[in-house]
Amino acid sequence: MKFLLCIHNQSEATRNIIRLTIKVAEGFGADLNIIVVGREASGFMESEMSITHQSLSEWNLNQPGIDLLHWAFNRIIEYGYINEDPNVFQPENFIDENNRIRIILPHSSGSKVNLILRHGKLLNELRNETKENQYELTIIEKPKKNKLTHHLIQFLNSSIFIVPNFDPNFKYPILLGVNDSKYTKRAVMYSAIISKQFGTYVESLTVSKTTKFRSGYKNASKWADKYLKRLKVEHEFNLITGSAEEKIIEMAGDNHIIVIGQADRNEIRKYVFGSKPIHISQKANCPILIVK
Amino acid sequence: MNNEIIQTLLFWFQEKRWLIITLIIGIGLYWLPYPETISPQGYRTLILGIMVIMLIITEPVPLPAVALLIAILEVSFRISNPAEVAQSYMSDAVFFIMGSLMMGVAIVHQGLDARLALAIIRITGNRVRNITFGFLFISAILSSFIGEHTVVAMMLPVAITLIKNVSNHRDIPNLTALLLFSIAYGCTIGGIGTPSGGARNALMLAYLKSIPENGISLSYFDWMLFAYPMVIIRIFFASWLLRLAFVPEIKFLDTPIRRLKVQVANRGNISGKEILAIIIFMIIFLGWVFLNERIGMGIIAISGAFLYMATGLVSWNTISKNTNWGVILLFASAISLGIQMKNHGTAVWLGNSFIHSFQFLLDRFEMLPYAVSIVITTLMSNVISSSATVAVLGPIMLNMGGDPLLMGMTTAVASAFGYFSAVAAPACMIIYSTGMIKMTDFLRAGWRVGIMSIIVLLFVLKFYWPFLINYLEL
Repeated sequence: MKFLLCIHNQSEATRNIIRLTIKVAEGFGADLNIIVVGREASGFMESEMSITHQSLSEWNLNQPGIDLLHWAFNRIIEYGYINEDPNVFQPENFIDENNRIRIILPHSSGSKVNLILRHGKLLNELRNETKENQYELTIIEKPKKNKLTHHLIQFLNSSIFIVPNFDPNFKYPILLGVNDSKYTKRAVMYSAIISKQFGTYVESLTVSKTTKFRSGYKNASKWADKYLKRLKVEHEFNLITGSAEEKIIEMAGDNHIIVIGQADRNEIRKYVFGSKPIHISQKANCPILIVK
Repeated sequence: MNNEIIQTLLFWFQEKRWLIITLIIGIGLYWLPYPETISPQGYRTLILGIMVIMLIITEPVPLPAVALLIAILEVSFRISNPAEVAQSYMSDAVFFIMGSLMMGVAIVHQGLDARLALAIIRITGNRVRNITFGFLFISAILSSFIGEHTVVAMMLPVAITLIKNVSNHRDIPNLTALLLFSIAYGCTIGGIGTPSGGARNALMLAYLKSIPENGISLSYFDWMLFAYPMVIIRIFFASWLLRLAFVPEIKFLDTPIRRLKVQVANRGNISGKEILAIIIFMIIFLGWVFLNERIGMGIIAISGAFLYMATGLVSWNTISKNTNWGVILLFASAISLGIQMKNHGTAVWLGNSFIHSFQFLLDRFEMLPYAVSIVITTLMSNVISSSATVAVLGPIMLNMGGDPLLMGMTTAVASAFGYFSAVAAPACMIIYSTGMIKMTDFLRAGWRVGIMSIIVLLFVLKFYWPFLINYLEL
C-alpha cells in the first residue's frame, strides 16, 4: 500500500500534516511518498527556468523544490517514521524520470519512503502521479480555491485526505458518513483503522432527507455496526433526518476527522453539480477523508 | 461508456475548455456578418487576433501549438496564401530573436558567473546596501545587452550562495527578498535598454517597421538613445525603493562574502575560453551598433551564435537543448499576424475605431492614448507576460492615435513594468520559484517600483522623446 503526501511549504501546518500522515501511514502499514509540485512556468519561460536550474547545479545549489523535500525528509526522521541518518539525502541520489525527479534513499528507508519533485499544474501532476504509481491515498492541505478541491476529489485516482488544519496533540474522534454508496464499506474499514491508530472512537452518521430511511441506508448502517464491533472499535450510531451536508459539517465542527465514501453519482453530474463529499470537503473546517 | 472513460473525457475538457471556447467563438464570429468599414480578410484577421489573445492568456495548448494554429488559420480563413504565410514567418527580427537566445545560452555556459560575483564584491565590499545596489546595477546593465534570463541564470547562484551562507545562522527574510528582487528587478529594468535586451524589443522594432505606408526604422543605437536614460534613472530609484520595502536584518556581510570569495577563487584564474567568449560578445555588440543598417541585426545575432559554436565554446547540443524554440516560433507567428493586420487594414481599422469612439477625450487630453497604452500594457504584462503582451498588443497600440513611434516605445517599455506578479518576466518567475520569497513580496516591492517607473516613463514621454525625435529627425 502506498500513500502520497503533497506539500507546498515549510509551515507549521505542513509539519502537522506530516505528523498526521505518518500516523495514518503507520496504521495502514503503508509506504510514504512525499511530492512537491513546483509552480508551472509559462511556455514563454520554460527554457529560461531550465538554464537557471543548470546554473544552480554548477554551484552545487539544489533546484527549487529539492530543499523542501530535504526539509520534509528531516521531519519524517524527527517524527520517528524512519530511523535514518539525515546525511543520506545527497544530490547524487537524484534520478530524473521523465518530468519527475525522484530522490533515491539508501537502506531500508529507500523501500519505505520516496521523495518526488514534479513541475506543472498541481491537478495535472497529481493526477499523473496517482495514475502512474497507483497510490491508495493522497493527502493534501486544503486548497484555497473550492474549484481545485472539487477537481482533486473528482480527478485523482486515489482516495483523498483533505486537511485544512490539524492539531497533533488533539485526539480526533472519527465522524463516519454511512449511506448506500458502494464506497461506504471501504470508508468503514478506513475509519476503523484510523480510530485505532488515534486511540479514539467512531461516530457513525446516517442522514436521510425524510423520516423514512431507505433500506440501503439501514443495511449499510447495520453492516458498519457489525464490522466495527467485530474489530472492537468503540462506536456509536446516529440516524438523523435532514441535509447530509449540513448535518455532517455541523457535527464535525473543527474537532473530528470526517471519513466518507465517494459518491456513486454519474461523473458528468458530479462535474457540473458536485457531490455531497465534494460539498462537505469544501465547507468543512476539519480533516476529511474521501474513500474511493 | 464506463465512468473511467467519462472521467478522462471530462478531465480533457477541463484542461482544454478554453481551446474549445476559443474555437467556438472564432468559428461563430467567422459566420457572423461583418462591419462594412473593414475588408473580409481584415475582419478574419481580427477574429484570428482575438483567438490568439485568448489562447496566449489561457494557454490550453502549448504556445508553439498556438504559433502553428496561426499559420493554419491564416490559410484556412483565406487571409493569405500558403506561400505568403510561410514567407511572413521568417524575417530579420526572427533571426535576431533566435540569435540572441542562442548567444544567451552560449554565454551562460562559459562560467562567467563566478568572475561576475568576484567583480561585484570587489567593488561593493561587504556592506549590504552596496552589495544590493551592485547586484541591481550589474543585472540591469548586463540584461540590457544579453537578455534577462541569461543574467538571472548567472546572478541567482551568487545571491543564493550568499543567502545560504547567512541563513545557516539566522532568519533573514528581508535580506533574502532584497537580494533576489535586486536581481529580478534589475533584469526587468535593464531589459528595455537595447533591442537585444529582450525578444519583445525586437518584436516592437518589427511592428514599427510594418506600420502602413511609412514604416519606422530604428537602429540599435537609436533604441538605446530612447530607452537607456530610463534604465539608468530607474536603477537608482529602484535600489532605494527596494531597501525601503525590505529593510535588511543585517548591514554587513563579512563572513558570507569571505566564504564566497574562497568559493570563487577555487575556480582559478580567468581562462582563455572565457576571454574569447567576452571578445565575441563585444564584436557582436559593435556589429549591432555600427553595422545593423547594412546587414541587419538578425544576421549579426546569428553570426554571434555561429562564432560561439565555431570556436568550440558551446556545442550545438547545448544550444539546441536550451534555446526556447517554441518562443521563437511564437514570435515568428506574431510577426506574421502583424503583417496580415497591416496588409488587410485590421490594425488601422482598430485604431480608427478607438479614435472615433474617444475623439471627445482625445481632443482634450493629448496624452490619453499613451496613458491607455501604459495602463493596459502594465496590467496585461502582470497577468500574462511581458513578451506575450507585446506580441498581442503591439500592432493594435501602434494605431490607437498618438505618434506611432512614441506609442510603440511606450508599449515596449511599459511591458517591462511587470513588478506586481511573478508571471510577468522570466526573472521574476525564477526568483519566485526558489521558494525563498512569497507572492505578497511582489506587491510589497512592486507598487513602489511600478509607480516610480510609470512616473519616469511619463516624464520621458513628455519631455525627452519628443526632443529626441526632432534631434534624430525621425
